[in-house]
Amino acid sequence: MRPGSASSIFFLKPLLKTILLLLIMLSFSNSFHAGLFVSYPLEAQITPSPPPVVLTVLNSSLILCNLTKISSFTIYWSDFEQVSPDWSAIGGSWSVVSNGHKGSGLNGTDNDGGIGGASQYYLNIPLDSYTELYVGVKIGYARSGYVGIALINNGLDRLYEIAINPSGSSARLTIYSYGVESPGWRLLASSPSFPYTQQWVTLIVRYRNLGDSIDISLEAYSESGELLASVSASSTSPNRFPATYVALEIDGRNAVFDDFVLSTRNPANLTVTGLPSFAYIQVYDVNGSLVGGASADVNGEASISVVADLVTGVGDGGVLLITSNSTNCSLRTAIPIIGGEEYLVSNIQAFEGFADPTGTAATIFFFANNISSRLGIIQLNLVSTEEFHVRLTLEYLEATGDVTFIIRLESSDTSSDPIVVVNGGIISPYTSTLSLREGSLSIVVDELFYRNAYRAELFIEYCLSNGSVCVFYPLVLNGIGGGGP
Amino acid sequence: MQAGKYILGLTIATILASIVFASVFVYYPASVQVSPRAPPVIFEEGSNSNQRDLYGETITTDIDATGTSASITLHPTYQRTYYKDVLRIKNQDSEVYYVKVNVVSTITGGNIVSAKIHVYRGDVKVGEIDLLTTGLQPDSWIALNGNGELRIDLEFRYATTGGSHDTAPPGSGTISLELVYSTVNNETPP
Repeated sequence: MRPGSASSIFFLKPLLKTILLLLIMLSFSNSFHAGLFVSYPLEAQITPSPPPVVLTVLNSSLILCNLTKISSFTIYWSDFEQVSPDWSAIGGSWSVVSNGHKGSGLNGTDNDGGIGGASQYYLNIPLDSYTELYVGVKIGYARSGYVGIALINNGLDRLYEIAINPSGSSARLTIYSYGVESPGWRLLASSPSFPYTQQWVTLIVRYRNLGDSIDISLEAYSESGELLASVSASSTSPNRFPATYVALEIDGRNAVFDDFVLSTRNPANLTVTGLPSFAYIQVYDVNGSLVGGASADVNGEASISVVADLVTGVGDGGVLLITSNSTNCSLRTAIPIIGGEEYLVSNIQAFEGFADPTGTAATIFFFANNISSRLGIIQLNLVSTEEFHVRLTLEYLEATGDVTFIIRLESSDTSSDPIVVVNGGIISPYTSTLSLREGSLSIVVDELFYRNAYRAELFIEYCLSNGSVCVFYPLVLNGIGGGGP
Repeated sequence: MQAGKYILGLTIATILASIVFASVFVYYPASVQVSPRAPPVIFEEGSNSNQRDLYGETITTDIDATGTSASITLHPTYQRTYYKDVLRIKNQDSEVYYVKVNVVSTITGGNIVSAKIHVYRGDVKVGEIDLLTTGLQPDSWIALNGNGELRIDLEFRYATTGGSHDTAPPGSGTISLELVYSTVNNETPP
């Protein structure tokens, strides 16, 4: 039977039918497993509105309490909070220990391995160009031996030792030379013995190269700032030398050193100018311990004894309390307060702000890093007739050092719970809500302090009283004042 | 006479050819039963539908009688404006459905920099739709549980460039959308 014949068509017909049925079944099967998709039309008609609440940046008031260091007498200072590569040892073992004067200190133990069989830890800064220097240092209680400062020659083999020499409950101050007046040690001067029961003694060394002599004096102060003893000597030997290096010196036992200041001015005192006449000023460390206080003269200048703490605190600033008939001011600063330096207290514009032309965003730059009284920065003005509920939210904080602030909303008769940031930690990120029904609200800084630059991103949120719609305006606060020394 | 034979021959050949090349049509009985139902998924007003908007305007939410189309009118301002619960998607069926939104056309130009739908199931955000990008969103289907509902919030951001405090930001218009729902969550609609 050949294809195409009537018989072959007859044979193919059931096959075609079967295939067709299979296709239909497959189609139905597919339909049974297919997803059902339904779509509904939806549209959003957007017709923008002007802002119903408009912010303005307030004018900054001038505030007293900007502190700047106006001198540079300090050559070097250290509170020995960490090991520094600025120092090198000639004999002895030297390490940072925790039992310093406020924080860490530097412990030295003599091993007779340094110049003259003592041990020195010298500062790698050549001092040949100076004809007059002051060195201040605090020394923890030492039972015996010689503990103090050494002035060393360029060859690092001769020295002047200016030290306290304890003996039981008394001590005396001594000035020795080594390799100058004689090949060995030579006592140049010694103070009378004085009672020595102090946990810490502050030594102030004055060095002068007068050409035909090297004059050295030493004063010792108690923790309370009382002068315990003093001694002075003059070296006229042909072998005298100008001091090239200054060192910490121990001979006999061990001792802890702290609050080291090398200056061209006496670090026992610091000067503050720009004060109200006869104002009383006190210096505290950041933990609230009093360092010293003094009254300003008629020109507003005060000289404050800081022998109790040559480097206030641990070199992290402090608090100045200024009291006068016209001003009571607490000035907290991150600037290291170092004995011998001069500081100026001045008025400063606390901040400057920029609002967007739409009145819906603002950026504030703070110049004063310490604000302890109420300071309005932003006003929120209602320009429509609705009532809004307003609050502030701190969204982001970036700070390289401590930052503390308290910010709240204020109306004419009430204020919100504040946003609180303490030492960089966000204690409360929101204000409570205040009603803006008519008039305006203010954004107020109650307290602000920061050590280094910071940036805080907030938003001002206002919602219709029924909560149907909320609007958010960005507010950025930048701290740019109050940096390093 | 000879010509007449040729014509007859050609005619017969043509008829035979048409028979040989003709299609075959086969008819079997089949039927489709169409039985319309109430829509299992409908739009419903949110708690803030037709409530106050800025400057005394109204958050207008128009939903047709069948619940199968909706139109919302909003009046945002500069920066970020957030509308909460202006529309709901309700499942009247006890079976789960899966939801997406197709952005058909959107606003271009003006100061609008962001427009979003936030979809919540209760207090949990379950989806986000970028209204400035056309197409079906989000990538994953949002489950609409049996007899459950979804809350629709809208958020707009307008830049302040060239603006002033007493003018509205430019960037008005209509965003056309489709709510698409399905019985399955593993297929793409045609």
